[in-house]
Amino acid sequence: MTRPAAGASADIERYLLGRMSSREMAAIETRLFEDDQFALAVEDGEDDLIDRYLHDELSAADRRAFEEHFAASPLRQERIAFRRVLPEAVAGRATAGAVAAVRPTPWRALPRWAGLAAVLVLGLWILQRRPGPLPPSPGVSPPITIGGSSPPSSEPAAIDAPDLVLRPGLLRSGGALPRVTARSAAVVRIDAELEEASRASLYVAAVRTVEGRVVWEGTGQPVGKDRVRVIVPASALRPGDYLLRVGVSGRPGPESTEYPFVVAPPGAR
Amino acid sequence: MRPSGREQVPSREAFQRLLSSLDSDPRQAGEKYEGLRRKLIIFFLARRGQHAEESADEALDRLGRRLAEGERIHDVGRFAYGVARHVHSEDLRRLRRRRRALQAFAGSTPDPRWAFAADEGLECVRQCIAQLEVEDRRFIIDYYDGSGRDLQQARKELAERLGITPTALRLRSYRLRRLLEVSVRQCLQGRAEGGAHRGGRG
Repeated sequence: MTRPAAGASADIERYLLGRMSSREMAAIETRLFEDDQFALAVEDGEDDLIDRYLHDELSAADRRAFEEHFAASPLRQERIAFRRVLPEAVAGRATAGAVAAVRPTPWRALPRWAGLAAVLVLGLWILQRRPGPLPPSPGVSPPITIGGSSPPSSEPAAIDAPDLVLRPGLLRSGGALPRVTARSAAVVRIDAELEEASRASLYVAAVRTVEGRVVWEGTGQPVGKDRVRVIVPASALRPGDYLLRVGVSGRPGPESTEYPFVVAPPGAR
Repeated sequence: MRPSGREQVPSREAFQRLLSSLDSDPRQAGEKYEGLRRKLIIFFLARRGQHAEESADEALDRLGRRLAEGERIHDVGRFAYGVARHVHSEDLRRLRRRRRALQAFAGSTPDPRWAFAADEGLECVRQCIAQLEVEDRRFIIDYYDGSGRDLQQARKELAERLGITPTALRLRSYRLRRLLEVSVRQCLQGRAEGGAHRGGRG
């Protein structure tokens, strides 16, 4: 990607942090509108600043300028929040407990959660429009443990209960398949038990119909050493028979495991 | 929503004129239009614009109207910069008037720590990412996930892997991000309204 010279890079940072005189700003902006490569470098500079802020790598003065100037607009606040939650959203990490933990703590004192504070800014947007109290989190139905599935055990408090727990080997055993009922909730949380303990930090996952049509692809996060949590949009799961495939991210398919399950129509037993 | 006082919708002709002034090839013109819009957003954000996207669109609308009126513009980028400065001056005047009217509330920006709906934000982002096409989802993950490496280097490699230029890579990420930003906004709004309704009943 575009890499400006060190001096230009420093100028871009000063521009983004609001540390330029009017004359300097005009010079930078003239170049911004005339030079497409320079415009890309400025966008890179924005991303870079956001990353460094979220990783607590800015000096105290830069952090202050970032919060007071760079992040002054709702659009930037959204972008910062988006960048912060994206990796977690991709990895499917539940943060409810983490949010509760950070609430009484000054955000600057906790580099690990500094970025989360940016997410909280996103919440401002909600609060400004919400006259009443915050709504409760979307309801999660109790786990369904039919057939070869097992009840969830030793869940960390921050992780929501699964809607479905799948065990390996069901394809071979020929027993009744785990079943979840199609419902109106936004997502279905599925825990897949691993055949052996793993220390991988990220898994790739896919759900396909028994006919082979992929209905969802994404990632899963570890829940302990022997389970992987995947969160599938409910809209992808119409009543029918499915296979969930889970593998370690970055490794080819043969090392993945398949888990069959059934989505039953609402009201079905 | 547009900042108040700007309701004039540009004509189709004005928009077409602007596009054709950017490039004779419609596809290239579309890309240049988005590039110009991004530059305008950077400009308004750097000047702490509270409605950077709307202001950028306003500048583009005015530019299109000037072209439709027959004005000969040799350097659209430079001209856009001039228009943007005018729009910004108007924004500032409007803001000053509003500030005077709302002086009682000056400095009452809530502490970010008050807001604790991060789980909702995360859930919405997660939901909106899940709704993307598989290819788009894979792209946005790759684009923002340097996996601990230099993000710019990771993006350069991603562009090479996809066989596209860095500019095309940027454009694709920009379009997807816009799509996600809009859907996340709608998702949060839906949840907020749902909460307000529940609160009203309770």
